[in-house]
Amino acid sequence: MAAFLPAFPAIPQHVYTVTLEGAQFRLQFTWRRRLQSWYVSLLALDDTPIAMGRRLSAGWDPFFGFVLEAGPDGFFVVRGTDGYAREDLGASLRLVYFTRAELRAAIPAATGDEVVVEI
Amino acid sequence: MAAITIIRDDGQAFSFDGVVSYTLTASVTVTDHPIESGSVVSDHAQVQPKMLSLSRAIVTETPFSDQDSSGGADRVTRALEFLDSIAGALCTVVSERYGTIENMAILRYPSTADVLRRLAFDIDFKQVRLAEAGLVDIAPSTPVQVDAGGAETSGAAGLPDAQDAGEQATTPTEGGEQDEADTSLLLDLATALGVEV
Repeated sequence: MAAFLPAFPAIPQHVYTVTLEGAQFRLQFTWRRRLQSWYVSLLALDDTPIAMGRRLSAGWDPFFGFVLEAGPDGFFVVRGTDGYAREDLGASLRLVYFTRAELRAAIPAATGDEVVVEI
Repeated sequence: MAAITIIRDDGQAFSFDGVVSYTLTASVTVTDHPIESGSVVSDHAQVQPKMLSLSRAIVTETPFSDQDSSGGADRVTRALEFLDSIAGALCTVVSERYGTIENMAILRYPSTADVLRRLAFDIDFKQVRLAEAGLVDIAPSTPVQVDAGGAETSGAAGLPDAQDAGEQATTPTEGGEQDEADTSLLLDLATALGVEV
């Protein structure tokens, strides 16, 4: 089942260790006042950067499009609305993790009504 | 008449019969930045390359016997060919007053012919500074640091300033429509960007 990542909006820059599908990672959240946005960084357990400084934008995977060889196998998505405030993190703005298996299971099954077009 | 010798990078040299005068120009450019009050302020000075100008450098078919170049009807032609050969290359200019000046590039060398069997050149040289390109390692960017109020601070190091919340557990979502909407969104993104799920 998809999982919410914890958050601590009272701490403008915090980092924690989390286990995703059996592997441990470090997630760092940073509130940038000038940009009024939360930014997330993904690090290995020894704090080796994997993907750094990605904005939490609602309806988007902050790490999408990156080849995260050392990262988790699944996908993140930001649930909420944009134009959020700092204290919204963990409440109306949440980072959610989906495993690859969950995504595969959500792919609509073929109905047999498809028309195959050969070009 | 002064003696001036130009030495090419392959060691070949050419000496003029004589030079009436020559001028070495050393200059510094001081920057000017106009400010509101109407005056200017300067923040630094640039040392300009040296310039050497030969005025009336004479080449004849009959040089003085103590010069290293033999005379002859083609000496004037050889002078022109020599100056052509140093155009675009670096050479060394040796003069009596200024000694040896290296890394000189010829800028212009107009010549005047008159009824006598000679050419008179006015030659300008500019000294060239040589630089070597190098590689510089630039440290990777570090995460921005913020203070307790969320203001960005400068000069702080990377991750160690972040407050470590230790090991945390995830919380299962409620499932339902919101999860379906998120998975649908991710699948759309994957399809659009060609990411294999």
